Amino acid sequence: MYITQETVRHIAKLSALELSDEEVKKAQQQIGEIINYMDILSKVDTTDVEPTLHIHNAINAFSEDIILEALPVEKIKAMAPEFQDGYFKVPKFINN
Amino acid sequence: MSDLTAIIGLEVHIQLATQSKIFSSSATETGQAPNSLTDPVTLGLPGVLPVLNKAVVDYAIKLGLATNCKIREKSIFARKHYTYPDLPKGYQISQHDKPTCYEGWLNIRVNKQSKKIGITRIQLEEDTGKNIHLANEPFSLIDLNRAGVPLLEIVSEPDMRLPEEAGAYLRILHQLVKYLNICNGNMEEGNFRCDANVSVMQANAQEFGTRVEIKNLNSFKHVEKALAFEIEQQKKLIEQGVTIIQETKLWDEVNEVTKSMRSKEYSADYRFFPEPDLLPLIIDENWIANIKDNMPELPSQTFERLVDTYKLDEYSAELLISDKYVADYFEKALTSHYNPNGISNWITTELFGRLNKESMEFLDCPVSPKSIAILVKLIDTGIISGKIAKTVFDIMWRTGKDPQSIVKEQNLIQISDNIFIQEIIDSVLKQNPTQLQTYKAGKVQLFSYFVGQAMKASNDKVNPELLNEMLKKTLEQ
Repeated sequence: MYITQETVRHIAKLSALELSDEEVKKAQQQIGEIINYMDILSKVDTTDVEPTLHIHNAINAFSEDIILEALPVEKIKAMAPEFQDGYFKVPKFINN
Repeated sequence: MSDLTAIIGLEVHIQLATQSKIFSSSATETGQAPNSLTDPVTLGLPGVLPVLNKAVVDYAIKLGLATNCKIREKSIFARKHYTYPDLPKGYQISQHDKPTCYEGWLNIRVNKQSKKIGITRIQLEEDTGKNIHLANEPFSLIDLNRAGVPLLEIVSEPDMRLPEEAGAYLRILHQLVKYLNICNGNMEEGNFRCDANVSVMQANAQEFGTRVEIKNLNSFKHVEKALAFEIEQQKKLIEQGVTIIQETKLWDEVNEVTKSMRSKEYSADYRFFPEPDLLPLIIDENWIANIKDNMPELPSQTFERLVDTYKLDEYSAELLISDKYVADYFEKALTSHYNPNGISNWITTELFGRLNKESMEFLDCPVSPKSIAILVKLIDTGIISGKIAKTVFDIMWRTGKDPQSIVKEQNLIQISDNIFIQEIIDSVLKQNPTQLQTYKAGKVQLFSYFVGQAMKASNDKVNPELLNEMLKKTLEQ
């Protein structure tokens, strides 16, 4: 399957990424290689094979419904690029 | 006029009343300081792994059983991708093609007719954070306390045709989640949210029309009003030959119209795939049997019990089970004074009437079950009349005081003193000689006029039965 630059731009947009023309070309090549490899894999007949949903053959890992200590807001603040009055501050993402 | 029919399907999101989040251990409380209830999983920090909260599965099975769903033996979680800052991971963990509960139904009643509404699926997922968009500021603020709070999404079949059917379905579902004790059901706070899908087609058409999704419906009334408005609008457009476009609208509760949301720049492209960080969820027979054994009483069972145990009529029982809090309130009241019919009447007329008038939820009722029970007891033992009881109720409502203190403070005790009552009767008859003559001439309807005058003269405090009896005797003399 051939990946067009348009597809790369679409994926970038979905991820809210801005790519330069150079970066689009680079991603087109890299994603293309991955997809080509998938094309090879998809030639294998898997009609009777159940999909591997998890690399471990385990099921049912649970936690109990109990509250453990939350992360202190100070620590979160230190990780956040911008923080104001206890909130993460991000560029506005809707138009009024 | 052409024959147009509306097709309605609903998506309900309920927040589960667990202690901790669906995939991590911070609390699900509301009203806490922003970002004070987060953890590395909620924040989507690198290298963390989500682990499923077992209680969420218990709640899902409960609701699945109560809505006649099949419980899937092996469910899979999926990543639903979208880039929005209220979910720091860049995807929501949800379910896609293997939801835990599927193919169920609920019965609704509209206009005395029963109708079965199909439930397509009930899936487990995580809630998102809250965004605050400040006017005239180039940034938004994010609080991730709500991110990761467990949700069940309940998707109905497009089986509803009228806004009232949608309202009835939502009320039944709301009643159910509260009886099951899996969700507190507060719609204002968004613990029970509804999105409605609605389209209009020719009554005999084979295919549904183009659907519009309506969001922001935070009360049953809004759902019904928004659907009625949208259906009318679509019918008009179709009759004018205009093509309906698929879009998402918001209900504007102030102007009572549905409004187009800003159309997204590109259509949703969620790129679902199985969540590799979570193991498959296997639910065996034992687990289901265990939940079944511990199921709380469902509304239909409470109904039967109220009718059987307390000999209530079906109409009253129906009213009392409408909300689990009401049924509990009723039974709690009975522990203070055992008069099922009397208490049921006070709840379903005075209490409901007042709540309705004040646009309040039953949960916020300021009168305790004990107070209502004592009030009925005061009537039953002849201490106050039914009429005075309404005055007492009004004071109870406004001040939160108990009925006995009110009766004492306001000197409202019913007068059953024969001499006093006779004095009042005599003076009323003396003051109304013309009416007395007319009465004696055969106009017996005037009896109630004398009763009214006597009640008034005593400030409604004489015992009405005694007054009736004595007045009758006096007039016969």
